Amino acid sequence: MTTTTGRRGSRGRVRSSALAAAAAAIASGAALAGCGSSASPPSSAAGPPASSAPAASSAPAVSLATTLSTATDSWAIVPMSANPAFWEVFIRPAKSATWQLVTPPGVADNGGLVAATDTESGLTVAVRPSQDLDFTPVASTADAGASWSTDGPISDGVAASAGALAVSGRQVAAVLGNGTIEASSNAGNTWGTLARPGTIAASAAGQKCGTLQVASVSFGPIPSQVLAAGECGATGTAGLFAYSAGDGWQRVSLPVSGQLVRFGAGTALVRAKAGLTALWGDDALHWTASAPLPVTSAVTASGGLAGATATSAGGMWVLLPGGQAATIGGPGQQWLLLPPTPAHTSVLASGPGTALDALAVSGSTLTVWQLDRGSTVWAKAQTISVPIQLGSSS
Amino acid sequence: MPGMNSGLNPASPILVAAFRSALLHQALIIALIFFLVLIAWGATRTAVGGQSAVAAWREPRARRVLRIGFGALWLVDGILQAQPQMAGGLPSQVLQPAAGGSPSWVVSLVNFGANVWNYHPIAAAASSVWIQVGIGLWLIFAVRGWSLRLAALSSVAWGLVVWSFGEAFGAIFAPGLTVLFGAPGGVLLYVVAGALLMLPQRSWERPAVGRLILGGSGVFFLGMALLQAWPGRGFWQGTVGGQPGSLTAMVKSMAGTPQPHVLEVIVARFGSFTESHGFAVNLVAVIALAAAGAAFCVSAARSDARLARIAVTVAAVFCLADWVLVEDLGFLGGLGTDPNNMIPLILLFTVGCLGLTPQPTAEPAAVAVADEPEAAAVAPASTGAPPLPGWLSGPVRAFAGAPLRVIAGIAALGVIIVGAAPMAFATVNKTADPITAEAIAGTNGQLDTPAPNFTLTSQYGRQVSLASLRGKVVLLTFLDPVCTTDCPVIAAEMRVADEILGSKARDAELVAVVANPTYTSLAYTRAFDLQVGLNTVPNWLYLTGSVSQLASVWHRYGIEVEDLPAGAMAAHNDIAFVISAKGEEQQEISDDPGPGTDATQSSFSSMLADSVLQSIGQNQ
Repeated sequence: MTTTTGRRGSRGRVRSSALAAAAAAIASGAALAGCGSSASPPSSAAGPPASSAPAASSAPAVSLATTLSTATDSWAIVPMSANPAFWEVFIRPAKSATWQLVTPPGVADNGGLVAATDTESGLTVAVRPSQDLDFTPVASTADAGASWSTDGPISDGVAASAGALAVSGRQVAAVLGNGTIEASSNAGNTWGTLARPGTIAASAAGQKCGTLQVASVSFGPIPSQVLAAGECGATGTAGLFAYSAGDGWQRVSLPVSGQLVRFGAGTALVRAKAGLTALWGDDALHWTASAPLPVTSAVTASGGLAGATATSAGGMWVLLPGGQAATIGGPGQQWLLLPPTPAHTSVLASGPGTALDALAVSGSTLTVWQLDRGSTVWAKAQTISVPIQLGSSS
Repeated sequence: MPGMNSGLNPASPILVAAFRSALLHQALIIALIFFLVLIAWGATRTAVGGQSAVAAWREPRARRVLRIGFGALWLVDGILQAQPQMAGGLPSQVLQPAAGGSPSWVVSLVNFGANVWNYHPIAAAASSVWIQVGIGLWLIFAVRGWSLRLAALSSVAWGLVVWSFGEAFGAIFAPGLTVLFGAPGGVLLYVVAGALLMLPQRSWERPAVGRLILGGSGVFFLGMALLQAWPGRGFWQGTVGGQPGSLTAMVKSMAGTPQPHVLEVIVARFGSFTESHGFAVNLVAVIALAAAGAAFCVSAARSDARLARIAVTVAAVFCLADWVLVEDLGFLGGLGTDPNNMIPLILLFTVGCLGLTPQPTAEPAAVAVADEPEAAAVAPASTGAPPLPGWLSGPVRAFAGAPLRVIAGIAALGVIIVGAAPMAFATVNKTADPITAEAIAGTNGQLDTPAPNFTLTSQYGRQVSLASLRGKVVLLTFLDPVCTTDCPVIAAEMRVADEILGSKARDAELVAVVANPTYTSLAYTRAFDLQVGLNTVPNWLYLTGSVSQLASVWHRYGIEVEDLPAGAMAAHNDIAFVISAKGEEQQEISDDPGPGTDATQSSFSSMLADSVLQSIGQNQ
């Protein structure tokens, strides 16, 4: 542990607990990295050991661990370490085969990160508050994480849902922990309340839904149109509502009925009786459904995959208990069950070319495993040792 | 257990020195009280001609043993309370372990007491010393009458306070209750003793009191024997599933505490013996408790003094063995505050035995004196002194004629008052003593240099320079608006410091500079203000600027600010400066809030307010 000395050097006790903790953390982080390396499965033809436990390292992390794809880049949001978890942002630029750590600086993110992409290359991240912080800092990058700028803070904590933030140009929307929907038309500099808890249920469109537990928001084809998705209190099924200034809240009917697993920009995942069904929005009101993936177990994590072309709708992936995983490439395609994922897989993401990446977390080490199209073996592609600052948030 | 851990290092030299100083000051006051009372007594005797009556009265033997015995115990407890680390260590090292395993309402109650202590650790610790010393002295000197009853009442009252807040009701609501470990709490026995001493004197002249005490002791021992024999509580096994049984664990933990080597060896060997012969040890304990209990009950029922003496001897040997081998003398290791339950128990049932055979308390001529012979013992002699007003004559003559032990009892009451007054003040004072903050942060650095000027933007969007604040004392610190730990706590401490300043706040400006290289916008300073309730404080400024502007200020004030990677909070020093109205840096304060409990926050607020007031005072 080191101490920093005050300006006059006369008072050795003038110190920064965080700085001192950081120094200690570097040492302990190095030790952790060492442990992670020795415990990692060897890269061999036999491939990695299959997962025997849920993918994510802790229960609260499950719903927020995800990946997002833009026309150019793949982003991954994963929790690392534990007690507390440190949430990290990784990017694999389209022209790169490797992942990089690009977590936004300046704020403790132990409460989790909620991210949203625009169709462009940028990423906006809401940092869920933890400990004595009550509001949500927001940061965004337009250069693949090389630099971050701060947007205005959200006055309360955003919901613990991977879809709680949406961005479209300068339009930003967020779902708060209590279900309030906040919106900003100037990149988060000022926020207004679009719907308080109960507002949608009280509207004419929401009466059949009952109390809507809003978990996700996105923007429709017209940026002024906000979509809010959640669970209807009356039936427990997915409820999707569209808001526009002229029409107020309107209910959008989905082609399948079931529990909402995931809702993002133009995509949704619903667990129906027949299994998991992926949905793609042709526009805000019309949705295309996939054939169901016949599984009954809970989804431990899910995310988006890049489309076949820059303009085509993207795919989705799901992680299931016991190392099971499946992907679907886009509208009109079938679910594809994958070989058992590597141990500690947190998320899946589009890899270089047609490959699929599995990002596995062990302590402060991220291991990228790659599955080539047609292959049945995950091969280790990259290891990143993340300089987790243990003790920096206490 | 929130609130119990003040975050203090009990061995903090600042805290220990302050405790010693407080004890010394109060000892001088107490010495003065004794001196003045003695002078007044001597002068009154000379003036009025007082002379103690030679009353042919003898205190009942049982009551004398009870009174002096528990008086001595209170004295010992008071001396133990004076251990140097008591001020900072009692909540975390005594109260917290005592309440461990108790129901939440007990923990809440103990937590309340710990919180009061943590707010005023010096006053509380010193008060505890003098209150207990005072009660002990009072019991020893107050032989009879109203003085003894008041002393006994104070023993009951303070005993109940200590038993509930300090001993968590002797852990009687926690699992694993056993007399071998200290149940029902040593201090509860002080309460019982106090209640017995309040009985009229004539009660002690009959065997009834002795029978009551022995009968009560018998029922208690039988109950404890039953509890000790109850299966499934881990006492019958030396080890349970490879883990030490209840008794083994207790003995081994006691063996591990700091103590004389000889005792450590004895206790450790007994621990090993218990581990391998757990059943036999518990069987002996159950039989001894049951036999003693039964013998007490029978001797009480038959008024059989011989059987009572045998039972007392056997029970005393057992209790002493437990006191040494299991309880480790009760006060060794850590911050022991009393000798635990066995010595008071021995005292109580011994008194019961003595009470079975009361002896005549007075010569036949004096037996007729009423139950309150204190006043009747006064027989002032006339000395031809000037006559006193009628209303004053009685008390003065009584005072002059009182024996020395009564005067000592009055002085002991003064000792209690010296202890109780600061405790009462501490209980009602919601602002913590700054000593806690000083113990955590260290003493403030005294400076005398011009404060570097800067111009930044306030949360209201206005340009503010340090120079523009001349004429006011500035409390300057550096805060990260998206900090999740220290900064909101420091900000809250500054807000409360402003409240403490009251009307003097108009002569002060509380100023923070953003200490984060990334989150520098006005929106974040405003969000921070709203979060910590500083948005309505008129003399609060939260200043920001471009990163280069901020970096310049950080550099000139010796503040290191750094973004850390991988989702960590930005790092910066927790330092505050007191800048005089003339623009001179006067103090450099570490405002690292430590554990950030209510008590430490209040203490830091007091320290910050005191520092500002000091600067305001210097400029006037």
